[in-house]
Amino acid sequence: MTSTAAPSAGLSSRGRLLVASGVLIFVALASVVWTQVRQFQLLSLANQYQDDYLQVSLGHLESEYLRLMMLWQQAMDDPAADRAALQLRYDIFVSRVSLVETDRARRTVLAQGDNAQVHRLVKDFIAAADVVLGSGATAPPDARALRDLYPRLEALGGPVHSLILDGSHHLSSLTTQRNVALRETNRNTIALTVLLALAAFGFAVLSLSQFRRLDLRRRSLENVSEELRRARRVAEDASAAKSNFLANMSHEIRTPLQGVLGMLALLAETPLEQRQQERLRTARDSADHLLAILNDILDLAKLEAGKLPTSPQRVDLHLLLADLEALMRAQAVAKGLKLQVVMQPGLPRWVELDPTRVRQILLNLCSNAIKFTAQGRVTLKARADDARIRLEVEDTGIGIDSATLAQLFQRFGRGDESRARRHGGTGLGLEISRQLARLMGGDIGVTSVPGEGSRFVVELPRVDLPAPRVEAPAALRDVPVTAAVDRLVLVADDNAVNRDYTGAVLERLGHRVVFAGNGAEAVAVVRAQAVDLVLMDLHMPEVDGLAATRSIRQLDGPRAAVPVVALTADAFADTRAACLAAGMNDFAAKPVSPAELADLLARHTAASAALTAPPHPPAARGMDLAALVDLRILGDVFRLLSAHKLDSLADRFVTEARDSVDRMHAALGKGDHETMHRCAHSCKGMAASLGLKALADAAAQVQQAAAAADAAALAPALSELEGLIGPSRQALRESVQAFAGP
Amino acid sequence: MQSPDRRRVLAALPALAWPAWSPALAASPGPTVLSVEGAIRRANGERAAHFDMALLEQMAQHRIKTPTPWHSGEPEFSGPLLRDVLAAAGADGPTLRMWALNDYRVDIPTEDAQRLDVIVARLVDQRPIAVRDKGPLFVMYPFDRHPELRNSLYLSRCIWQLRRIEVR
Repeated sequence: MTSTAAPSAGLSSRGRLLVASGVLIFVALASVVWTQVRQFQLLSLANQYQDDYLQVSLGHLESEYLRLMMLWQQAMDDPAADRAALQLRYDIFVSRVSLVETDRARRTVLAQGDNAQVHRLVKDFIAAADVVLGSGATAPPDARALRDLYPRLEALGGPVHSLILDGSHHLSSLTTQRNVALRETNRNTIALTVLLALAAFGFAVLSLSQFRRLDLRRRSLENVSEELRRARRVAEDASAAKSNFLANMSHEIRTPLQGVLGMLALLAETPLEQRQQERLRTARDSADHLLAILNDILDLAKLEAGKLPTSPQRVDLHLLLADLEALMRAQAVAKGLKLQVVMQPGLPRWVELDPTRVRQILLNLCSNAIKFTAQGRVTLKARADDARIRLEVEDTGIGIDSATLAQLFQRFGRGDESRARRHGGTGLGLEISRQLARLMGGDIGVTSVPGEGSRFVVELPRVDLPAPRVEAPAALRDVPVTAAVDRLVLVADDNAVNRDYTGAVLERLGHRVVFAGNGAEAVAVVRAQAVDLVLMDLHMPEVDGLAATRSIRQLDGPRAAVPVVALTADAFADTRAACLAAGMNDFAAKPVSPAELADLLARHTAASAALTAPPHPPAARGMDLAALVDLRILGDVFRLLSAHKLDSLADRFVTEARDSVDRMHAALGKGDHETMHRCAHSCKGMAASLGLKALADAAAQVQQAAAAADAAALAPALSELEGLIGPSRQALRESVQAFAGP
Repeated sequence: MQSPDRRRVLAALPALAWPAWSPALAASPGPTVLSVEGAIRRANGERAAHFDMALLEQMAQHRIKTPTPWHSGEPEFSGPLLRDVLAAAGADGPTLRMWALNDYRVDIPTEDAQRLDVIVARLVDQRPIAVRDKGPLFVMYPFDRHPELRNSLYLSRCIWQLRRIEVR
């Protein structure tokens, strides 16, 4: 901090120096301009020329005075002398006198000493001489008059000389003053120029050093950032090494932990007291939790190492969300929460995604939401714009404060510790989810209001894919193919949620379910009812799954042979061996997906029941259903409408179709091919939209014949169309029933 | 490069201007107030072109109104253009040596007369100029239209009591 503060202080003082020298340069330049202007003024004053000229004129005045004296003497002595020349000379003298009468001359020359007096003497003489020589002179000048005036002219000699000397001296001193002033301003200009040069030099030096400093600073910053980069690399390497170590250790720990779990499972089979069983259950829960943590750590390590691959594939997004809803519903219901999955219009169905990872993310977010919500609802909203798919998990839970929010996605950054302890979990889930989302080119964001709830938003890039070419109707695919047969299944599980979930899935699959809360109850149910399949949780209080199975196998009669499938969270070879040893038929890891459950049922009830073949919608009378109905189209319609609505739509369609046929008969009688064409066309459209392909084809035939005005073809085509209406209705009804399930 | 061209142009100018006022330099019966001598091609006297006031008055008159160092106020000078006077005498030389009554002289380039409307003023404020008032002829530069001329050089070329022009 101080190391950055000090240079910045230096910088600002340097900056001040720079500004100061800039100001100095400006002031110096302004002064130079001012001085130059002054100099220009001094030089351009007309006084200079006037004074020079006055100086010359003074010289002229004296010489003209002397020339006039000479000519005057000649004229006095020689009566034949040129009087006109004298007159001219006199006028020239007078004109020279007027030169010292200008304003400038009065202020300079005549203002000196007795010069004004001298000027008056000269003017007096001129006034007297004008009588003889002036322009108004009446008579030509005669020698006598000239002689009379001569003494006065001669008397002017001394004063005029002194006037000229004084005036000249004064003008010289004025010139000198001006020169001094000029020199002064010149000197000032030089001084200012020197100052300017110095200031400019200083400015340049300062700028240069500033540049050098900046350069140094830049270079040191570069060094620092290079060091930071290096340090970061080192830190990242160290972190990677630690993660690697952690992953390795987790892996190492997992192996003995599996041993512990296996042993616990075996221990659970031995006769135990109530308290021992409780302790065993606690130990098992802890071990399960530990295993979950280890799995998370492994996931994370793989993510960091880039070893967790995503495998994007064509996915039915609607189905994925529906599955998710089914999985989460039990959890939500067990906590008394409302779970809602909202697919907004425009959500594409077939997209390219990694379903496993998306499911992992959403399961994590949803189970978190359920975990941290005491009452209210959890909503999963799915929508899409052109580029992204947005999956929002919203809850009305405790919310997250901003401090926690900031580090929510960071490693082990989970709410606060107390909350974590209260709700369990590894705290790695969110980080894993975010990393997975990023791995898929998306991200996870969160907004939350403490006390009101949180909203996690998963954004994934949207890649639309065309629907697969051959696709079984979704409803049929959704519910795997044992639907036609209803089985009685016993679900033995002490956990009510698990029980409810499994039961719900089974019912959805079209089976009946009975429940048992522990092993003893399970044995009692099998003894009392003809159960088709037992789904047995291994760990139950009092009598566990293994013991119960052994008891069942010891029953009398065919009920001892009922298929028993173990459901357990720990899928270890030891456990599996224990199950088989106890007489179980199969083994499934919890939670069991609907598909797995269906598969199990198909597998284990095949031996005891004949109907395991994939069900086929029952054939229409005399007609193959598949020939009448395009199940793909109907499946799509079925997804949009409820079975009830579809049924009433089908009724309406039949009425319309029959009307149409009646109209066509009437039109046929009249030879009105146009009406026939129109009716056949609308009939074809309706049939096609419901997937009634045979009917649509027949209507097309009629339409074609009508268009061709082929009367011979029209009648048989129309009767074929008419004959197809009934079977199509029947096929539609049966297909809808098949989709809807029992 | 330029000066021969310019000289040729200047030489041609009097010839061009010639027919403008008179086919030949008229005689000047009155007292001569201005003589043009030296390199001239027309004369009405012995190797000189003599002008009396009447002759100068016949030529086109121009006016210049300007303050001067020798006058108070802003007098108006009027008289013929110097170049017309030179053309009348067929003057052909780059320099004009101007002489005053008292034998003061100043040399001015002929180019000044061609380039600028320099006049030989014979009236100040519409009145003839007495010798004692620096007359009878006063060379005046057009300071009113060319303020930039107002400096010592051109002021010194404004010779007064003009008597003689020697074309060199």
